[in-house]
This record gives sequence, C-alpha cells and structure tokens, in this order.
Amino acid sequence: MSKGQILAGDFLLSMTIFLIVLGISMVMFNYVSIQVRNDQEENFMHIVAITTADLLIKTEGSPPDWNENNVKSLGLASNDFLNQSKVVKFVNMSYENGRNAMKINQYDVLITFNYINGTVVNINGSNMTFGLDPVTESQVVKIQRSALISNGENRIPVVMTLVLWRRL
Amino acid sequence: MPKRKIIRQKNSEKTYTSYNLFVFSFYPKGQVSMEILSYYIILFGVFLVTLILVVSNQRALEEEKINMDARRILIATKNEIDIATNVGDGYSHSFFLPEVLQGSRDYNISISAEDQEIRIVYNERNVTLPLLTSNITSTIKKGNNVIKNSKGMITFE
Repeated sequence: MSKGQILAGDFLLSMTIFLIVLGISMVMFNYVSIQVRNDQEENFMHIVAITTADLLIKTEGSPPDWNENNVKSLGLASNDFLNQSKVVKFVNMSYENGRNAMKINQYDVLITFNYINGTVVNINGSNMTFGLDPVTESQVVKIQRSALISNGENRIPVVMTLVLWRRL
Repeated sequence: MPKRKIIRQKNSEKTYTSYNLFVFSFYPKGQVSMEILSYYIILFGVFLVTLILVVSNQRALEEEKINMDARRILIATKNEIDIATNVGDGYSHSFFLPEVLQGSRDYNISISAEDQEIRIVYNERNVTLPLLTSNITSTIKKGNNVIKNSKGMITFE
C-alpha cells in the first residue's frame, strides 16, 4: 500500500456495506409503504363500492325522472324495484357522465346486470353493461347485489355486479 | 531521541491502522489532507442522500396519515347520515368532528343536498361519497353535531 491509499480498502468496504444496508432498508420501507397504501385504498374502495351499489339499487336518483343531461345523482329504483327504463338509460349514458353522477370520479367502474344463470341481461338487443373492463395492472373491488328489474308487467330477478377499479 | 526516530519510521512506512487516519503528522501534510477531505466529502454526500431519503419517506408517511384521517372522518359522517336516513323519523344522535386533521392540517367538510354528496377538502385534495338522501337542510360543522331525522328531513344542530 502506498502513501496515496490511506485505508482506501477499509473505507470502500465499509461504505459499500453501509450503502447496501441503506438501499435494502429503503426498498423494504417503500415496499411496506406501498402495501399499506394499497390496503387503505382497497378498504376505501370497498366502502365506495357498497355506497355506489346502495345508491343505484335503493334510490330513485335526482331528479327522480332524470336523464343524461339533468342527472345530479344516479338511482335506478322505483317503488322498491329497479326501473327497466332507468336501467336502459343508465347503460346508454356516456361513461364520464355516468361516473360523475355516481360520484366516483377517482375510480373506474364496470357494472353488469346478469340473470340468475349468469348470462348478461339483454333488453331490446342491448346488453345491460356499463363501464370499462379492468386493465391488467389494477386494484379491483367487486360486489354483487340481487334485485328485481320491473317493466310494469314483468319482474326479472337479476344480479348486479359492480367492479370498482383503479390503475396501479 | 533515537528511539522516537525509529517509531516514526515504522509508522510512516509499515503500520496502517484506523488511528493513522487522524494522525496526520506522520504523512506529507498536503497529500493526507486532500485524501481526508475527499473521504469527508464522500461521507457528507452519503449522509445527505440518506437524510433526503429519510425525510421524503417521513413526509410520505405523514401524507398517508392525513389521507387516512380525512377519509375516516368522511366515512364516519356519511355513516351518521345514512343511519339517520334508514332509521327514520325521530332519530337523534350526537357525534364529534375534530377541528383539524392529524398534523394540525385544516380541512373542510360539506354536504351538498342538491348533488346528494358529502365532500371533504384537505391539502388541495377532495374526496366525495354519494349519499342516499337529498333531504338535508342544515350544514355540518366541526365540533359537536346532533343529527336528527324529522319526518324524513335530516338536520344538524
């Protein structure tokens, strides 16, 4: 060892070990932070999903005879049943307007009405589906609600599936 | 005197311990001070990077705590309104809204009967949740609130 290398080996070794430990600590900390954040977000998404499903199933909407241009709050119910004409109006709404009316701007959503046997409800040739399919890298919350769609004459038992998701 | 000379010669040419880092007098002064200076600069750089990482992580944690606190308040208030709506006429219950969020951050919570939503605004962020009723008259305030359902109309006192 020459005079120009005072303990350079020791110094570099200790510095390398320190940086490795620091790097691993930071990676672990970030991983835990992301996990905690995702868990919190998922809990909140569950609450938003339940609230949105309640809103659609239990309320008439605001105004009660809403349409895409004047809707303030979405609701599909009329007299304890899902109103078929409101369901049709809802699935034909633009995605952004529907999402705004459900107050879920921060998330994406897919809402599907299925018969009890699992096939998608089809009314007048249109599938009763609203929204976007989740992308691969996304956090997803899914809930289902049973209801009856009424058109005044018939009542069709359906399962409404609400998938709330956000890109990761 | 001869004995001292031998020790100095030995230290300067053969022996290298951590003690030598701080015993500059055995080496040519200009060379040693430049090397020590470069080590200190590297150490200071590492210290700065560590400090920045720790502070940024701490800030992220604080933001997350505030976020969680705001959402907790929003959900609790929404639940109070939903319960009052579902129970019906004659319901009354008192609840408390804190003056500030964690870290003494200010926030604003409001209910829009027209849009049938409850909104909390904090740190230039806002989060909304839909409500099951639009029959809400008075405004919610920080501190003690008494929520009542009078014939389907939700009020706060």
